[in-house]
This record gives sequence, structure tokens and C-alpha cells, in this order.
Amino acid sequence: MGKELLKKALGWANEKKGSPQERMPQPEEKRPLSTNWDENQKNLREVFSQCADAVFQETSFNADQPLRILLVYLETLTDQAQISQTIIKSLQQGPLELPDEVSVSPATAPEVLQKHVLSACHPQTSADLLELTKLVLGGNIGILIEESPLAVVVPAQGGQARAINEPENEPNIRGPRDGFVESLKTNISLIRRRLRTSRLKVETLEVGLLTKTAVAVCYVEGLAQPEMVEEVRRRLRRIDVDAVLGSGYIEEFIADEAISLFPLVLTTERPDRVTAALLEGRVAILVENSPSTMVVPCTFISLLQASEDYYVTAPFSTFIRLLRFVALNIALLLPAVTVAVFSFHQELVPITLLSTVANTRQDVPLPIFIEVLLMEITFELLREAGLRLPKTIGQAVSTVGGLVIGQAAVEAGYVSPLPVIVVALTAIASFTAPNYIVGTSIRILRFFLLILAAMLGGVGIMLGLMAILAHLTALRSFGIPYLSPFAPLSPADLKDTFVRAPWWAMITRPRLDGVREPQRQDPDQGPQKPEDSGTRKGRQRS
Amino acid sequence: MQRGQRYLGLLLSLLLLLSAGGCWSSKDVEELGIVTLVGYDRIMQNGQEMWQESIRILSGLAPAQGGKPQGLSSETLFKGTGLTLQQAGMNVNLRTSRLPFYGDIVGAIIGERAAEENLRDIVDLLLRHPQARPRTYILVCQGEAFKLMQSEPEMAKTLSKELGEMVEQRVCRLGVSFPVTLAQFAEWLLSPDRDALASEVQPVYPKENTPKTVSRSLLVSGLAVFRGPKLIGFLDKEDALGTQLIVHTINRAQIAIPLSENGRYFTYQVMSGRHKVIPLLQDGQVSYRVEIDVKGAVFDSAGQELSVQSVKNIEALAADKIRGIALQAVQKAKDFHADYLGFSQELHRTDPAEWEKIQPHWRENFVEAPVDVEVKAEVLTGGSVGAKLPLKP
Amino acid sequence: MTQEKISGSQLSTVLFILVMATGVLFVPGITARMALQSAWLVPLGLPLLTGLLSLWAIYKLGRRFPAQTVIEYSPLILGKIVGKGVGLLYILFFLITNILVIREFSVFLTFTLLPETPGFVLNIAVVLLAAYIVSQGVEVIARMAQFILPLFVASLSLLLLLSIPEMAPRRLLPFLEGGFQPVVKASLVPSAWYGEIVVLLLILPHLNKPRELPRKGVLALVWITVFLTLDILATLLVFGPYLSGQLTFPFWTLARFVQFHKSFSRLETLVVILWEAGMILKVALLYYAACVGSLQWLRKVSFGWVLGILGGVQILGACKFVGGQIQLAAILEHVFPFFALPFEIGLPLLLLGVARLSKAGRVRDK
Repeated sequence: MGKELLKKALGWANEKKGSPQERMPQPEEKRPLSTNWDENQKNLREVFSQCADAVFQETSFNADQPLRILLVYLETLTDQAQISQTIIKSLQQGPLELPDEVSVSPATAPEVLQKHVLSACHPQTSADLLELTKLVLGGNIGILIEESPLAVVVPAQGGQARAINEPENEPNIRGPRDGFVESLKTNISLIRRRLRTSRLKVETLEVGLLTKTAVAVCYVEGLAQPEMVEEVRRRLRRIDVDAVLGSGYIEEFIADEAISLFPLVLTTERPDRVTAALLEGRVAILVENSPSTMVVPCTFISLLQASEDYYVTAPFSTFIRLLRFVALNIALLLPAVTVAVFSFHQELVPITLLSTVANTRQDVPLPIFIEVLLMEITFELLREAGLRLPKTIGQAVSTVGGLVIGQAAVEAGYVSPLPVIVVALTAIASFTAPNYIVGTSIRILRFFLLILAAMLGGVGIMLGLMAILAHLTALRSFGIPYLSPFAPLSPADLKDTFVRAPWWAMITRPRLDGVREPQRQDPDQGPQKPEDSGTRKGRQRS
Repeated sequence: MQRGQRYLGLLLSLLLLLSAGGCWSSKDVEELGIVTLVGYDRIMQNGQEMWQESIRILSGLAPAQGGKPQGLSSETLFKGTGLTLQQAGMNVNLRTSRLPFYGDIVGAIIGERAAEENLRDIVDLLLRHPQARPRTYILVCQGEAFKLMQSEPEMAKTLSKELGEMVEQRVCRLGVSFPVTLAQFAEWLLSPDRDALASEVQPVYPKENTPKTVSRSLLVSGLAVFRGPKLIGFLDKEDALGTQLIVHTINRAQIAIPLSENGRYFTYQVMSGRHKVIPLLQDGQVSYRVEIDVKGAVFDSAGQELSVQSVKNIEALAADKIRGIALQAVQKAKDFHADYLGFSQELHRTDPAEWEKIQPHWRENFVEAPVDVEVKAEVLTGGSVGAKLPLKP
Repeated sequence: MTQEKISGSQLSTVLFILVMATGVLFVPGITARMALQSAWLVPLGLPLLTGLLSLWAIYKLGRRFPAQTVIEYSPLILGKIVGKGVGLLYILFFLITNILVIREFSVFLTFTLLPETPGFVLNIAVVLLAAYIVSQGVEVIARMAQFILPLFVASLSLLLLLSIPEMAPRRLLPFLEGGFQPVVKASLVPSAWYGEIVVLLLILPHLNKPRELPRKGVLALVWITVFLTLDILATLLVFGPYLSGQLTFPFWTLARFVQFHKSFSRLETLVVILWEAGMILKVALLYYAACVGSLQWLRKVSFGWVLGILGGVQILGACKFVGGQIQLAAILEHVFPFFALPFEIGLPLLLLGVARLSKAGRVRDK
């Protein structure tokens, strides 16, 4: 019965979202340019009416036999210097030096422009008004020519873009410092620079009816499963929305599960991380105007790995990973365990600690569960406040939060010190999560477990953990079990999980349901002592 | 899509169900009265045999003005009586505002009469009680346990802590008694071939000028002897040492054994001891040989020479003395008619056929069986001075 | 659901947890009561044999009827009516066994950690959780087993390690007092536990390489035997045969007893909680068997309905018909073996025999 209700509620929500009829009509497929100069001009001006940044510049070329042309571009998206210095200059130069067999007429003008006049700018032609519009909206310059049904399009992308800098969310110490920016081209170039092979394939699609966002699918041919790539394409093509303003829009469409508490795609702003994933046979999805890039398939363990792990030595990296795993457990379990231990399983606490805690709690009004819950909520508030505020004020908030709320509440006797310590530890532990999204999953589950712990103590925690485990084992990301390589277990892949094997030992790629080239490198490359140590000694002596 | 919703619904209903029910077993720390020691007595009240339970509960001191809150540093004593142990416990509970929590009991002190008559009930309760731990120490006292529960600690903050430290760290090393846990005690009581022992606690009335003015404290010394589930007597310090040498492995000890030569006393200090009981069967007659192997030192040599030759002599003296102690302990056991030394158990383990035969009268068999004790004593060190300290006359 | 495949090692993990989850708690007490210091020999004998025999029969049946469960092939062997009857009996067997397991779960938890919590809450909680797991399919059960196994084995080994200082090997003497008779007598209950691997009758079609079954099954049985023997040995060596036999859950008491330097003690809560994870999986597995069986028996019924109704039956059964700890212990010791063993080895052997005689199913092509 509850199921029915739930279905109804969701169905109702679906109806509200808007039925297909309300969607704006698809524009007609084609609107060829005519040979009529005025009509073309009029149509184009109509398309860009009320667009203050659209520039229409009339000029002519070919001094001998002037042909009128109309340059149309969006000044906000184009490189002004290039337009004035290169394009206009070459159009307005003196008599054209053309080979003899070529004559300039409205019919040949596009070709002349393309092949001779503007050949340095790699122009292309378009015979369709809508295509031309799209290209202009993409930062190209459209050149309409008198009485010609073909328009010449010159790329002149420009405008303001953010420079490449270190991603703030994923800083590191030894690795490269560049991060993805909003420009798709720049982002692809960042990957291409690292993978100088023609096997790196980049396919672009367009998603979003209004935004026309370019989405690039990158993979290494021969490493990625073709079925996987096809599945990515299929899922991307299925998307039919008005707008895509960030990779998060797409993430929710292409995930395997309707609702999951854990991220089913890996998002990162680091090109090195993406490249490493591509080399394991994964597929990257880059979205125009979004620095965060998605990598699929995503496994749970990959959310706990930072790219820094691969740049420091293996033992240190293993240590850090184990530490991070411990921290993950603390962040998930500590409040719940505290409540379970102090309200259910007091025999677990050494008597000295038990008596100290009991004593500090003599005059505190609230039970320990409510205290922990309130402190956790307070902390979440502080954290959210600090995140959204300007950095300078954010610091003030954390000071006020930490000092005033923590200390004052304890000193006034409103809360006992225990929950404050617990929440502080939990908070510190949760900051070690290298992936922000998985951190948020942990935050939600922490409350879930806390409530269960308050009801059934340790038994409740275990019930909750088993439910989470069942959820996790049932999850798949693009067909790959989320908990691989642990469950299902593939022992060879454990070398890059909680431990990180040295690079010379990472001989095989992760299995990922059958990578096509399992071997990554020659197996016998481990560092070796010089073959004949005797000679070395001898050399030293001499 | 639909599947996902269904499972979400399932989980939600699970959560709802649980939260609607509430937190049955939840009890916050501050609601608990942490019981640290329990005492059990049988007393006569209005002409009826009653159980008397006394408990010591940790209680807090109000933090000093502006000071930091301290741990619970003192104990409060409560007692109650009833027809059964549980009823007595309930009557104790009437007096306290807290829920008694038995998970941290250091020991259970059993009064003499209770141990003589109704030990069974106590062991039964302690073993069944879900909070009481199998490592609880079983202690027996002469007279009423409640009297001992009234004593005050001399060194530690609480009596339970002091008692726990004594039992665990001191008595075994001083050779006056050894710790007996509930599990061990119950195993002895349940075995068909052995009688049980427990440590003895005694009151002590400090006369020294200690910083604390304590009128009565307690110490653990000696052993209580059981035949079946009945207390039949106590062993004094010396007999306890003999028993310990036969029953218990000794480690890191400082047991002083005075020896005399030429009318002068000096000390052999036992540091460790091993033991072995070997049942022998000759012509249908069971006898036992006990092998005791002790290692020790002489620090208090009182002018004795500690050369290679004389050490042999000292070793022989010590072995002889220890043999005497052990034999006396064996005789004591025979007098008690209780085989708490584990001789019959050893017979059972090594020769089940013979055990079969003597089982109906195994205690008599133990009493009649001749026992021989063989002691090997070694002196490992003589301290940081040479063979002899030549003090001028 | 039939498309789901589990690997051989996953299967052994599942079997290990299936038997050990309850075995580790109940078996030492029951065997020590009857066989005293010889109790540790019990798992090495008849129970192991029962397990192997059952495994062999299941394997042979599986070879004759590949990709079919007992519900599907028993009508082929015994004729429509009797075969269907056997199928129904199996469904009831799994259901009743699971009701007992659920009650074991709640009885043990109310006895140890949650004394004031009513049993029905725990029954409902574990059944709901198991229903969620079952609805995700046998693959999820297998993977969860792989995840739980290290924790389970680690906690077990930790306890065994910590109990070493408390052990006295002489407690095992005299060796085999009273001959083999007590050992054989004490074998009955553990045999019924070993026989629980009979769920294979229903999950065998999911095994990706059915030929691996003998190897992986024997592997599981061997490890079960090793750990069960160690488990019994530890309780015997620490508490002696007489006390072990009296304790309801000797291994739990052992967890309460052992310590490492005093500061690292009182591990029982941790152990119970880890054990609980294995228990949930066991409930889920038996639940799954009952569900799949009913689905195939009834045909054309939606999975959701079967899941819901069986869940309800199990909750009701565990709440109403089992009683408290004393009754449960009596059932486990005196009733369960006689109820379970016919299903665990009797029927599989019978089915195999009849199939051989009547040459039903695929005869081996050698």
C-alpha cells in the first residue's frame, strides 16, 4: 500500500514536470540561404534581433569588381583583434592576386574567400541559415556574400575565459598543477598533451535544446570496451533537455540507478586523473563550460583515491590510503558508535572513562543521542555557512562556531564535552575524503546510522551497515560492480586499493570486466641491485 | 525505477518501524549506578534465614567551584535483604536512584555462612547474570561480608580499585593467596574430580599514621577451601603458600622464605615456581609425586656466604623448607578431606580407567594416597655484592 | 533472476558463513555437554561426512539436471504429484529453518546486548533487511558474503589468539574418555548444521562453473570444520569441558573472558556485532531459497508477492511459534536434527537414487 502511495506521489511529480506538449516546438530542420542579398540580410538580422552583442559589419572585397559582403558575429564570443587585424585586413587588401583561371563572381566568391583570401583562418562554408546561426553562436564569424547562396564561416573564438590554474578542490603537492577550465577545447588539449597517441579518441555530441552544449566522450581505443563506449553514447543521446549547465546535469541522466546515495560517476577537475582513468580503459565525459569532468565506470574505491597517491612513494601512499580509510570509518561511524557505546554497551568503556563521562553528564539536560545529533546539525550548519560565504567571512564563521558554540555550550553546562569532542573528530576525519561528493554521502549516512544506533545500539549500527553494504554491492556503474575489486573479488586488482603497489609492480590494468589489453608494462622492471656487487666494491676500493 | 522505489519504501518502513518503537534498551551513562563490588551474606532476620546483598556504587563528587569535573571518585555502600538473592538485590535497588550496572564488578565477596550453606545460588546467579563477567574475582571472608564491604581504601581512591589491584598484582606475587575468577571457580565446582578454592579477604585495622584516617581496611590473604559447594575452612598464609606452590604457577614473585642456619635467619626469595603432579599406580594403590621447581635469589643473606659451595647448601636448605611447607599443605588438604590440590583430577586425566574405579570414593582415595614432594630450589642471584660482605667485627 | 551468476569462491564463502554464523555460537555448548573433552573431535567426524555426502548428492543431481533447481527436477524424477510434494516440503523446510534462525538471532541479541528490547522488533528488522537483500538477488548475497568473510574470520581468529594465554592443554585429557560413543552422540546436532548446505539445491543453477562445485564445496566444508574445531577447542581449553557444557553460548562467554593486557578486553560486543552480520546473510540466503523455491513451485507469481508473503510468514512464525531461549535451545538440540537431516541428506540421496534407477535427466556422457 505504501508502495502505491509512493508511486502516486512520484507520478504526480512527473506530471507536474511538464508533458511533452508544453515543450517548445522544434525549429524546422533547414532554411537554405537564398541568392537574394536583401533577403539573406534581412533574415539574418531578424534572427539576431534584440541581440545587443551581435555585430553586423558591411564591407566589400575585391577592389576591382567590388562585391558587397556582410560580416556577422557576436562581439562577446569573438576575438576582436583577430577580426580587425586579420580578417578585415585581408578582405580589404588591394587587388587580389589570383591565379588566372579564377575569376571573382557571386558564384565563385565563397571559394575564393575560402581558398585564397582567408585561407590562413581555416574558413568553411555553410548554405543554411540555421547552421550559420549556430556557427555564429559558437563564436565564428559569418560572412554573407552578395547574391551567393553560400556563406563563409571563419572561426574567431575569443572572449574572456578563465586561465588554467590548480583545481582548488583537489590540490596536490608533487603532481601537476593544471586543472580543467570551462573551455572544452582547452580541456581536451590538456588530455591530449598527456596522451600523445592517435588511439585517444574524442567524440563530440551536442546536448541541450537551448544551450547546445558540446559534450565530448574520450576514450583510448583498444583499452576501453567498445560496448562500454557505445553504452555511454547511447545514454548521452537519450538525454533530451533544454539546458545543460554543468556536468551534474548529465550525471543524473546517465547513472545506472534512479536514486543512489553514492556517486555513480567519478567527477574530477584534474586532467592527470582523467588521463590515468583513460589508461585503465575508462571513458571520460567532458562537458563544455564545466571544469568538472566525469569518468565512468566509477568504483567505490576510486572515490577514496587521490591523484597525489600516484606521485608519492608507494609505502607513503599506502599509509595515506589506510589513514584515509580509517578516517572514512570515523566520519561514518564515530557519532553512532559513541551513542551506542554510552547508551547501550557501557561495559565496553573502561571504568575510569565511564565514571568521568558519567560525572560530566550529571547536570546536562539532554540525553547523549540528542546532544550528538544537535552538535552534528550545528556542525553541518557551520560547514555549509562557511562554504557559501566569502573566504574571509568564512573564517570568521568557523571561529565563532568553534569557539563560541563549542566552548561556551560546554562551559555553561548545556552540553557535555563528549559530543563536542566526537563531532570535532568526526569533522576532521570527514575532511580527509578526497572526493567531495562521497563526503556528502557519508554525511547523510552518518545521520542514518546515528538514529539506528540510538534505537538498537551496536545491533542497529550493524543493521544499517548491512543495508548500506547491500545497496553498495547491488550498485553498478556502467555495468561494473561498484564494490569491485572487493566484491566480486579480483585479487590481482587489490594492488591499487587500500595499498598502492609500486609502479613497477602495477603490471596489469584493473580488470573492469575485461579490459582488452590487460598488461600495462613489462613485468620485470623492479629496481635491482647492480648485477655484480663485487665489482662495485672493487671500484670503490680502487 | 520502480524497483528502486520499492526498496526505498522498504528501508523507509524499517526506519519508521524502529523509530515508532523507541529505544528499549537505551540507558544513558548518567542513569547508571556503576556497581564495583558485591557482597553476599546469609543472615537471620526475624527468625528467618535471609539473603543480604551489599553493593558499592561509584558516586560522584560535585566538581569544586570552577574546577574541572572529576571522575567518580568515591563509592557509596548499600545493602538490602530478601528471601532470594534477586529480592535482596531489588531491595538494594530501592535505596539507590540509579539503575545498578553490574558490568564492572571487580569481585564478589561471599560471607562465611553464605559460602557454607548457599554457595550454589550465588554461583548460579553470577554465571547467569548477563552483565556479570566471567572474570569477576571470587573472594570469601570469615564472618559477614557486609562488614568488609564497609572498609575504606588506604592507597587507591576506591575500595574496589584497591581490592582489584591487590588481587591482581600483589597477593599472587607475595605467595599469600592467588586470584580465582568466577570462570575458574565454576569450573572447579563443576568438575567431578576436584574441589574448589577461593581467595580470602580479611579486615585490617590500620594503626599506622597514614595520611588518611582509615579505621578499617581490608587485605587479601589466605585461601578458602571448599568441599563440593560448601565452604569448609580457611588456609593461613603458610598453607596458602604450600597450596599455591602445588596448584598455581608462580611468576615475578617476591615470596620470602626464612631459612635458618647456625641459629641465624636469612631469606630465600622465591621468584618463580613450576609444579607438576604425577599420579603413580602400584599394586592397585594410588600414590602421588609432586615436583616443585622454584627459582629464587638471596638478598637478605644475613652474613651467609654465597659461594658456589655454600649456595648448594642454601639450595638444599630452601628445598627442604619448601618441601616441608608443601607437605604441610597436602596434610592440611587431607585433614579437610577435600582435594583442592587437583591430585584426583590429574589421576583422571592420565589414567581414566583407574579413575573409573575410584570415582565413587575419590576423596577418600586422595586422603589415603601417600604423597611425596620433591623440590628443586635454585639460587639464581645473590645481589650486587660478592660472596660475602666482610664487615669488621 | 536466473541470469545472475556467482563464482565458485563466492559459493564457498556463502556456505562458510551459512554454517558458521550459527554454528560458532551454539555448537560448542551442545557438543561439550555430550562429549565433554572430546567435543573437539565431533566436527571432524560424522558432521563432515554428512556435509560431504550431501554435497555429493547435490552435485550429482546438479549434473543430471543442469540449470534446474530441486523444485523443477523433483517432478521429473518422482512424478508430478509426489515431486511437487517434495518441492513443497523443501520450501517449508527452508521456511521453518529460517524461522528458527531468525529466532536464534533475536534470542541471542536480547540475551546479550539488548535485554529490554522485545524480540519481535529484531525479528521484523532482520526480516525486512533480509527482504531488501533478497530482492537484490543472489549475486548481492554472494558479494556481501565476500565482504563479510574477512571481518568474520578476523574476529574469530582474534578471539582464538587472545584465548591462547588462558589455555591449558591438560584440560583435554583424558583423550576420548568413554570411547567414541559420546562423540557420535554429540554429532547429531552439528550434522544438522553442516547439512544446511542443502540450500545448494536452489542456488546451484547460479554457479558459473558447476564443475567447480566439488572442489569449492569441499573447501568450504574443510574450512568450516577447521574453524568449528578451533572454536570448540578454544572453549574447552579455557573453560574446561564441564563449564563449557553448561554455558549456553560458550564462545560468547569466551569473548567476555579473554583479554590482552587488561586494557584490550571486553570484546564480546564487537564479536556479537560482527557475528550479527553473518547471521543477517544467513537469514537472507535461506529466505532467498524459500522465495526462489516458491516462485518456481507456483509459477507466474510476481516476485514481490512471494517476498512479502514469505516475509510475513517468517516474522509471524518467529514471533509466535518458537518461544524463548529455553524452548529454542530445546528445539535446536532435540527436534531440529530429526527434522532437518531427512531434508539435508535423506531426500537428496533418495532423489539421486530414484533418478539413477529411472535414468531421469541427463546421463553423464562418458
